[in-house]
Amino acid sequence: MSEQRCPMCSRPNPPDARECRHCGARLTPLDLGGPASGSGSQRQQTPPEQDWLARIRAESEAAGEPEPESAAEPVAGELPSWLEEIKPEGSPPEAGEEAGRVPAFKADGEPGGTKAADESGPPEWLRRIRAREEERAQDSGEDGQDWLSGLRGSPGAEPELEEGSYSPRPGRDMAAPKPAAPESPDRPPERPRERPAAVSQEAIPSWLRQAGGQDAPPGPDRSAEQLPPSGSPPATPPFGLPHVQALIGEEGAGEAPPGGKPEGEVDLPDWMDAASLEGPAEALPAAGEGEDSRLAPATLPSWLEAMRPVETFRPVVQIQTEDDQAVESAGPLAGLRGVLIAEPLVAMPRTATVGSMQLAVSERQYAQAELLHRMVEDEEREVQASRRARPQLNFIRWAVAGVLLFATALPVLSGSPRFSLPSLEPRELGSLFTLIDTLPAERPALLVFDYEPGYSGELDAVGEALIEQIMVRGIPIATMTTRPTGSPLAMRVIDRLAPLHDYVPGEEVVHMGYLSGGATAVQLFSLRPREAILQGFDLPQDMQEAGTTAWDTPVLRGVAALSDFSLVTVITAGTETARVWAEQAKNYMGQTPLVMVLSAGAEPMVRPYYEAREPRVNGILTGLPAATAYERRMGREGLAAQRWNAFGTAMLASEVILAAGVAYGLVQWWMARQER
Amino acid sequence: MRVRLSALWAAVALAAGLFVLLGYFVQFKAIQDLRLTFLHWAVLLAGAALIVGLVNLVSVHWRKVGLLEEGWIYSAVLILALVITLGLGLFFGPDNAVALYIFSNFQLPVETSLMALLAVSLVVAGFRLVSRRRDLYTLIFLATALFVMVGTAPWPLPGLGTFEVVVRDLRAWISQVWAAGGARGILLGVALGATATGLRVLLGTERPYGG
Amino acid sequence: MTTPELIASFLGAIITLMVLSYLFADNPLFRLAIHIFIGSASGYAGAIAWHNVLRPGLVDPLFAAGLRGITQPSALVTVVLPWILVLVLLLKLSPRTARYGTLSMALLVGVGAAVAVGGAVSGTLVPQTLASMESLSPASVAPQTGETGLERMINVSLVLLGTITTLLYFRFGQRQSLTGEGETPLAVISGVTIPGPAGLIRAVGKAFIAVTFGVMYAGALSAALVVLVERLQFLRDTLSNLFGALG
Repeated sequence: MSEQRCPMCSRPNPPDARECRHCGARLTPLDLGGPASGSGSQRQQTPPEQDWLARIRAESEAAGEPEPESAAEPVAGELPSWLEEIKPEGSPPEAGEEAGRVPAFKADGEPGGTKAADESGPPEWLRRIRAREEERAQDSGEDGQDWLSGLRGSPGAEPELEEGSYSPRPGRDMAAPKPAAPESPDRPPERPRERPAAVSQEAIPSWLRQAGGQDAPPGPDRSAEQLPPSGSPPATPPFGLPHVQALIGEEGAGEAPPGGKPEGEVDLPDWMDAASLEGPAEALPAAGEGEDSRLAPATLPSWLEAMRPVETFRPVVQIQTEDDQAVESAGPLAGLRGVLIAEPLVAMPRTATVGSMQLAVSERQYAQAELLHRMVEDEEREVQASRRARPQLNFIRWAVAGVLLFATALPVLSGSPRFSLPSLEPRELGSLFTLIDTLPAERPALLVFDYEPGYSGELDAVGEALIEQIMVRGIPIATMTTRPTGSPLAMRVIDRLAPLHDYVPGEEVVHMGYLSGGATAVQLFSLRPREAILQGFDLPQDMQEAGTTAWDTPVLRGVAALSDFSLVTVITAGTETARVWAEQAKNYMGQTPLVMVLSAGAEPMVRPYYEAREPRVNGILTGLPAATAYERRMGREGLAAQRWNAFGTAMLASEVILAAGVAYGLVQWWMARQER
Repeated sequence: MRVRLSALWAAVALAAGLFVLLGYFVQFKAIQDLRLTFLHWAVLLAGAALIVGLVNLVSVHWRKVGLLEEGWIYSAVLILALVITLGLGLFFGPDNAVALYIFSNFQLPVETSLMALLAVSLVVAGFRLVSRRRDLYTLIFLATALFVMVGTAPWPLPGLGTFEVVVRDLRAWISQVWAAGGARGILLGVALGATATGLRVLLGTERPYGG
Repeated sequence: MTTPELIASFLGAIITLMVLSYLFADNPLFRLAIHIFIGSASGYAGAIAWHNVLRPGLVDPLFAAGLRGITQPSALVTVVLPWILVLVLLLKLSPRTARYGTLSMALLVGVGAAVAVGGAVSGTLVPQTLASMESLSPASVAPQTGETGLERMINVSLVLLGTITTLLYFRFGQRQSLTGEGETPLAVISGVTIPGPAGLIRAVGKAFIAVTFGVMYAGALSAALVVLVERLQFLRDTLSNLFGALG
């Protein structure tokens, strides 16, 4: 016994197997009842596949009949002619269908409609086939009765194809199929149906036998149904569907029906094959006979067949000729014909069919969104690398420096030009001079050197004028400072003037040294001078060796408080230092005057302390002109007078340069305005 | 109970500052003594802070020399000058001849020369001022400066003329009246600001000492 | 001039020229001079702080008190606690212990703030406010300058006006324009906006400040020019001494 091939996985299986041992598919058609379902060992013999359609064509051409394919589409509501010919008269309806009703896929374009059976009888070609089968059965001595006839109960009980409405079962029947649709390319060419599996008649249960002839599904159109005339061989089994040959055969073609094909006859599919229905036994190869492996035909139940959504899921697509087919222009299939056009369906962007949401955006939100968008764009924008700026030659600075240096150096080197000393002196100069002139000579004067060495060029000159008057008066001098470099500065000034007035260090002049802390130091010194400064600076050697401090010198012997000084003179260039001394020290000075020797730039900020009903500053000496005037009052030419000429030329040059700058700026402004 | 250090520092600042401030207005001996004590300690701490700053300066430049960063040679010169001066000053005293020699011939010339450079910078800045910023107040500023300079500088013409007297009187009037009015307002504003800042420090609102 | 003095002058002149070379451009000589200056100034400041403040304030009392003396109550305030405070301040040198050095810094800052507040109130606020309330009587005489009569009245008025408008400018004029935000100008004449009353006050205050700063600028410039003169004179003297010594 030859193997049988599984219709699903095409693997060989034993001939008596019911199910495929590889994939589990049924090898024998599923039958709801009857002898066919019981004899699982018998399998359907598939005749060799032949192009039955081509044969039909050939025969019809020979006979002058129109080809079924070229036949016009049947009119809606009518069955195609070939189907009408197939359907025997009075053929019982299929299982699951209403009696006399044609399944939807057989009905033509009328969903739910059934067509009236052709009462004119089976078509000619079917009669011929049946006649041939009968002859064969007679030759073989068979009854010619197949199991299906037994099921039906009467050989002639064939359902009629009815015309009319067909009420489809819910969920089962779809739109009525278009019979004989040659435009359905996806439909594989129908192959000759294989003969249904032979079923021994004795295996048909009684209920099936009874149901075969009397069963008629209820329906509203039952009244219209007509029982098929007796005698006509059943076209379709009452319950199960006719066997449908598996599409894949061993040889790739359907098996030829046994017995060959008599001339003029058409190879029909098995389900149409009346001979196979009537005499399935001879059509089916006996079990154990050595036959070639054949595909087990797959049988679809009627309800499943009725469910086939032929019209819905088998869209009619007309196959264009090759010349008419468009050439694909995009995608990987570019240049090919006959391919599904991807771009219109896939590549084209589709707009949402559902209405898009409309956002309510306020102006402010829109502006903020724009700002954010701009910020993001700025982040993405590449910043051009700034070119390294070439070092520019500062011509203006060179020019100004050259002019100033020339103007300053000219009188320094050559002695000319010479300017007359100021004949006008500041208003406060006279009171200051008088103040110093009336100081008690027995009490020392305190000189505070609170300026940076950078200002020594000016303040040395300004301060020396006042110090000289003090020295001329013979008033002892004590110096102190709240800056680290104040002591050496004080020493320089005093050392320059002391020999001129016979001031002996330690006797007439003493340096108390440095006190750290800024305003805190001034406050402490104002409160407790002896507890604040504990050492001295540049004390005589013997005093240092003796371990004496500045307070032990004759200059400070009688001094215990700030008010014990005859004068406190603060020599400073900073407004902050002057303000600190005016704020912190004046409260503890009593009647001791506080005098400020200032740089020219600090005068405006100290003058309010001077020009008050209760002034905290009793005298001001500020700038080179005041110092020059002071020296002139003293009748001496000091550092201020020595620097007067060069100062004059430098100031004159600066005035010219500044005036030129103002004029240049105004001209630029005016020209810009003219251009506008 | 865990005490936050920051609160402790604020309490120390408040306590010390409170007694010192009270001493300005209250003539109570205990308060005055306490005030003096705190002032003593502050002076000592100011001196110690100067030493701490010196050490920090050396460490920064020492690191620069150690890592051979750009300009390490200058840092090495700085450290060398510092060490020499400090050593001489510590050993011989700041009033010894060598230390004063260094001060007179290195520190003093540099600082005065820098001040001389300032003169050129000020003139250049004044020259460019109107070109860069043209408004009424710039013109007032420069006009005032020019007028004061003319009134301050030696008179280019010989003899004391009436014009010179007028100019000098006007210069005095501007600097001693107009500028004094603005200066007094500035002084009052500075004093108000210093009072507010000082009170904020005492109350712990501002902690410039850290923590 | 002796040789050391000559050498000293020569060194000073060299240093001066090194710094003045900055007029042309920044150069290594200038940087070298600056770094020498910073080093020597720092070293000298350290030396004088030790000799004038720390040694007589900390070391000498400790040695004077001795081990026994430091246990005395008076030494606690004058010796022990200052030493502790200074040592705590030295903890600032290390990043790990810097937070503990805040104790001394807090005391220093607290005392400094109190001194500033006390001085500002008693030394500036009250006196300057009183000084602003000068009498406008023509008979009053300025004690320092001797002004009297109309001159004094005008001067007092100007100073008062300057004081008030300057204070108002600092208070209201830093964030607003002359016309102020939302303030309508008084008039607009030929494109020139005449501000309203508040804007006018601020404008006057700003003018007074401009005058004050102009005077200060002139004074600073004249001071710097005097220093420049001094430096050139020094160079001249050095050169002349040098040539004299060589000659």
